[in-house]
Amino acid sequence: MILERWPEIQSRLTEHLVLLTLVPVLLAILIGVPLGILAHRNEKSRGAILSGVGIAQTIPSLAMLALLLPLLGIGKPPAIAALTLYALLPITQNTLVGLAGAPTTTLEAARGMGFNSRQSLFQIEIPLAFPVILGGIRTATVTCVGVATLSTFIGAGGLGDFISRGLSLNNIPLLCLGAASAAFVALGLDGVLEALSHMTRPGRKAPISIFRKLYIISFVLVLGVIYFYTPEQHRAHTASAQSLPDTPVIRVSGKNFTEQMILAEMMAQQIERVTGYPVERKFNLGGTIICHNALINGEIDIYVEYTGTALTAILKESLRPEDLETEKLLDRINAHYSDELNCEFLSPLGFNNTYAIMVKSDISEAKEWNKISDLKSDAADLRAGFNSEFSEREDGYPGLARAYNLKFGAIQNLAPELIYQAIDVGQVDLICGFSTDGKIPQYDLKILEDDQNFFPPYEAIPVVRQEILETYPEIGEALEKLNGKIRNSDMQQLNQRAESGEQTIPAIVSDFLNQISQSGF
Amino acid sequence: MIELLEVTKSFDTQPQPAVDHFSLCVQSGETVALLGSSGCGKSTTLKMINRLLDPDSGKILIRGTATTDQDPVLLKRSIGYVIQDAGLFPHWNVFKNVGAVLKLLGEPESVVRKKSQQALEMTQLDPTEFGTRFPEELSGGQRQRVGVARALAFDPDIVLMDEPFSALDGVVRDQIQDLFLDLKSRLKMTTIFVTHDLFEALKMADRIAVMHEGRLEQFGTASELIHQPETEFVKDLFSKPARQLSLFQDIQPGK
Repeated sequence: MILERWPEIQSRLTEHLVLLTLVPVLLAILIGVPLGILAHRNEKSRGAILSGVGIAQTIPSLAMLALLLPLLGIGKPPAIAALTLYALLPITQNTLVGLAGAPTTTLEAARGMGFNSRQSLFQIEIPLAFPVILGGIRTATVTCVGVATLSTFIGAGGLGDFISRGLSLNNIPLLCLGAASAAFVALGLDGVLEALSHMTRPGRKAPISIFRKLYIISFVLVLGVIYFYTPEQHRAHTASAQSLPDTPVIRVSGKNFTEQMILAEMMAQQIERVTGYPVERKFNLGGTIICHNALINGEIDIYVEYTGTALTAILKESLRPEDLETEKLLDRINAHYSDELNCEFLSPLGFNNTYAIMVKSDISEAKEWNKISDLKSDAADLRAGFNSEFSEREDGYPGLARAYNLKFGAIQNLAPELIYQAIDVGQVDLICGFSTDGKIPQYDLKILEDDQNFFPPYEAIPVVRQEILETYPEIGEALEKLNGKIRNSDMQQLNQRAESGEQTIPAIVSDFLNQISQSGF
Repeated sequence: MIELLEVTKSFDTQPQPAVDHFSLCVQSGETVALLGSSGCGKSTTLKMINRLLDPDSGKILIRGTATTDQDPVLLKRSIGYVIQDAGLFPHWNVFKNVGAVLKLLGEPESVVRKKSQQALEMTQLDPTEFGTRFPEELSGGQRQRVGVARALAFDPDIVLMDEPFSALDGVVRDQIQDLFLDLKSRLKMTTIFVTHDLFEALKMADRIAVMHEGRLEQFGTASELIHQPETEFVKDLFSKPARQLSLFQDIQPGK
């Protein structure tokens, strides 16, 4: 697995080490050390400076990224900005503590001998405070390496990509690869900085212990091997990877769950196959709003959105009865998208990833349950497993209960990961999930028909920036060929295969595209 | 010549002035002790001479010019300054510490080197052995020798010393006092030093200024202070050692 991903490991490591750690730490030094000096010399500014940098630290990492999103968009700049803010506190604080810790007799001697204020600062105070400042830089660096793993959620890359993909795909080795690499970087940098602070201690420099030397040498060696070794299978590939100039690079994106990764990869491959344009894959963005903002800000060109989500979560409109016809709903959504957002929904891919109430297949046969209405007579004896969001949302259980006039005997709130196991072992009798979940065929479940049409449709449709469609009409044509090609059962299987981890998503998608092109576009 | 005229200094932290209408005239080449118990204002007085502090009122003349008309940084660079515990720079070796003021004065590296070596030799520290050591690698006495060398390296005509030897133990203190007297007889710099130790004042100073609660009690030679005390405080201060000495004299042989 490691050799196969070698070039990606190299680039993720570079992103993490350079862009998401060294750059923010350097920026934080450039800002934090002068702030610390100012706080030390000017007592009035001290409180304001310390609480200023302190507040930045108290904002949870993900919230910070979300807050910076409207200002800086997605990608590396907001991640670097957020990480710089995190690195600021330890550096500013340690600068202040270090300067305050200089012996008063030394400072009095310096002043009495005729060092002016600037000479005393640069020749005496900063050198004496340096090991403490370096300690702050060390804390900041290790914090940055850790927090930087979260910046994958706004598409900034880094080793967090492995972790979040590993989590979404339930691929433990991939997750471990990311976590172990991040730990390796953190420990290595920590060792280097510790040795540095040892060397900058005032007075006689004690020799660096052989253990510490070995530690640093092995860190540098491993880094060297990662960067300078190219496994056989990638050699030819690297040489020919130079892309042609003047061809558009289409940026395809998706949200951070399995189905979205499959669909994004599918669109990417379809564009590459049909048009030959190079595709940049900006996968794994942290949610609907992040994807949407990225699209309308022109940072990505294409992703797959669901009609129900577009209507309620993005356009903030409520569902009307006529929206149950996909055509009409799509017209309504597109009216907003093309006029206000300069984007367009193409044709539906064919499946509807809506909420689904499901029961075990054998029980549904025995009891002849096919529709949600069929549950009504037994409802009082049934135990339902819902996730807490579904239990609360108006378009979830409360609305469902009213529409069907039924009330289940017991409701258990379960974490989404546990919901399928709960029905499998018989802890609950019915659950709510999404209709394309790969676990539906895996656990042999039956989706009950929503005969009252309570759940809005969540048709999956590629949404594309109009600029792209106008300039490169072949992109739109290539994607339109996927119209209606993915049925619910197809999507379930694709999800299941991806989650089993036996094949990579690109391989699964490639198989699928081959299969549908044989059956004729 | 150093002249203090009606110098007064108060701090926000205490109601009465730390130094109260203090006047003193120190002749060139003279060594004067500011003697008093802690809190009497002797350190404050010394710090006003090289403008580590500025007086609220009154005037200080150095080399005939009011200190307030002189650049405070340049003034400090023209005066040797020795403090308790030496106040060496822990991140610099002995050479760099001793040469610090020469460097500030913009002397070329060769001069800095030569004068630092001479200063170390004057204070009886072998430059080849001690020059590259760091302060933490020196004993207390060696550190203060470096402190003295640092104050003398640039040939100042004035040296100020704030409790210079009081942190040292008896034998070492005696040695370094002797060393200073020896240097003093050769270099003839004007010296004002602060001490709370009567015997140090008697041993090293030409004249002693006794201070009490910010005021000058009496200024004179040891003989004048002992035989013609002008205040009860001075009389008491100088008669106490004689009373203690009598304890020795009262002890008869054979007992």
